[in-house]
Amino acid sequence: MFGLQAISSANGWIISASGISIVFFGLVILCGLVASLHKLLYLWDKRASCLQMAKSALLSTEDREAMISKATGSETATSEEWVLELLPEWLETYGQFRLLTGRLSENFSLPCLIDRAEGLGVQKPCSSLDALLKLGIIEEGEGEFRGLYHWRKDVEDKILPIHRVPAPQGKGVHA
Amino acid sequence: MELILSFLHNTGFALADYRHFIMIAVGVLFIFLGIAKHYEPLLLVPIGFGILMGNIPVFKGLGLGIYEKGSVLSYLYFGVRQGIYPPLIFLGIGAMTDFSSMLARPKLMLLGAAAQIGVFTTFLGALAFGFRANEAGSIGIIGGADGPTAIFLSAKLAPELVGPIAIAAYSYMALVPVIQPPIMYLLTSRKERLIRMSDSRSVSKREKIIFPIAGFLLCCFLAPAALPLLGMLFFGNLLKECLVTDRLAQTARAALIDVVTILLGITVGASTQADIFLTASSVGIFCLGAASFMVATAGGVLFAKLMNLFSKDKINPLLGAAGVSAVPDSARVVQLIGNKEDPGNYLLMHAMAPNVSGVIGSAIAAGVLWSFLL
Repeated sequence: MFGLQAISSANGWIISASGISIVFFGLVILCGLVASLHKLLYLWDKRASCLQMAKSALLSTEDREAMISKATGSETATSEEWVLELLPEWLETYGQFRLLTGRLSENFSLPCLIDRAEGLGVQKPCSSLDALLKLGIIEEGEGEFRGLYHWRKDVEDKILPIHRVPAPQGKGVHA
Repeated sequence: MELILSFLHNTGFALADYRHFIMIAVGVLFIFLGIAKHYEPLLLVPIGFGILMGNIPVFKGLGLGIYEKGSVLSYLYFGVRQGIYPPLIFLGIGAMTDFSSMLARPKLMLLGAAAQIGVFTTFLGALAFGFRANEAGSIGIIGGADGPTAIFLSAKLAPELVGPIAIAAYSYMALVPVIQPPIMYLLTSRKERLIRMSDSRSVSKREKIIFPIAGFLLCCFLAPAALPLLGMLFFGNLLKECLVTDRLAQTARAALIDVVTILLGITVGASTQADIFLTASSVGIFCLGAASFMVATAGGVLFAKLMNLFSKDKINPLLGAAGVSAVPDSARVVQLIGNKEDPGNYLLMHAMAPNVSGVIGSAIAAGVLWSFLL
């Protein structure tokens, strides 16, 4: 059998139409997911402040005042503790180096870490590590571990995400 | 004397007919194109040599030919027949691929979907030419411009056509720089070719880690038959991006893919035994394969033009040609043509987005055809 008759008898029209529709549908959904992924991650990073905003929106004026005074008090109480606020990109850099050191010993050598980072395509590993050292997230060891480095103890509990105010849209500015 | 005569009767010279010499010439041509013209040398050289191996006339029954039970080549060919090699190649491709450009500009993924029009149009064409539905599906997938996918699907749907389909798919992939430019010029104006793309946003590592997991779940829930290909593709990419499995990623993108490419190339080449390969249906497959490739390219370019009608942020329609998943050749062709019109226009990174989404699209298309036609 040949021609249009062969196509019809093998359900060719239906298979083709549904096939291309499924491919398009799949990639459109994937496109939507990819397009919203960074926004979802942004919201995830901001979840604490979002929850706070949602809570305050639900509270009565008196409760809100009480909460504000409580929050001020806790801020004073915690102001003496060491807390580090990082922008999302620095949080990511921190996370990447955490992963990279996961398979090294607790005290690791910086050149070795830089080699691994370069090998895996991490961008600007030297300046990133320098910044982590300056922020005190990575510290040099003492005694027999001099020359080796380790993560500051309880650093994970002390890091808080902060978010940059969006830059005004204009030439040369990228989101 | 009788012994010598018997030996002479058993040599390749005595057993050969003209078809063997035609195929040997094809094999030599593949090797020439690979070495001298640098057209996909990693594929054409093993396939070309495989064609030579498969077309040495041998005595049937000695267990030498690829189609003879118990021969070494038939054991190696098992990986093609059972569709084992293509997913392993996809693992390596996943471990090599950087999806950043696609993640940064997701709407370009639609061009990868549009190029799959070639697959389904050729499926209809093959049916109209009298091929059975399962054969037509295997021929159509050549338009996906993805060798492993074409081999995988034809091994499942029409194992007897694996040889011609693989040869057609890889030949046209190698000829991307020859096939695509005339279509791209024909369907675009100079003004359109000069469109410059705006810069993409930077993509975070977390997005790159989440994408293979989310992408795999979504695509495979939608088209479960694409599981062997897409599962391996996304798994390979996760190995690359997650930073803690660098040894595995390194193996997948280097040693493993090289070994499998050698085995696949040699056995696919050897499967083109003259008496089985040189048939009218092989000629039909080659013609339909070329048409499939052209329609896929045209589909991508025209869809890009269609998107420009509704979008403020214009995209260069040449990018549509990269929707066929010949990675990275079609993206390179887009860059070359865009660069020729405007030397300051760099389209390569943008073209990688439809190019890698074309890989996903063609795997989904293969899964869909497999589930419809099995």
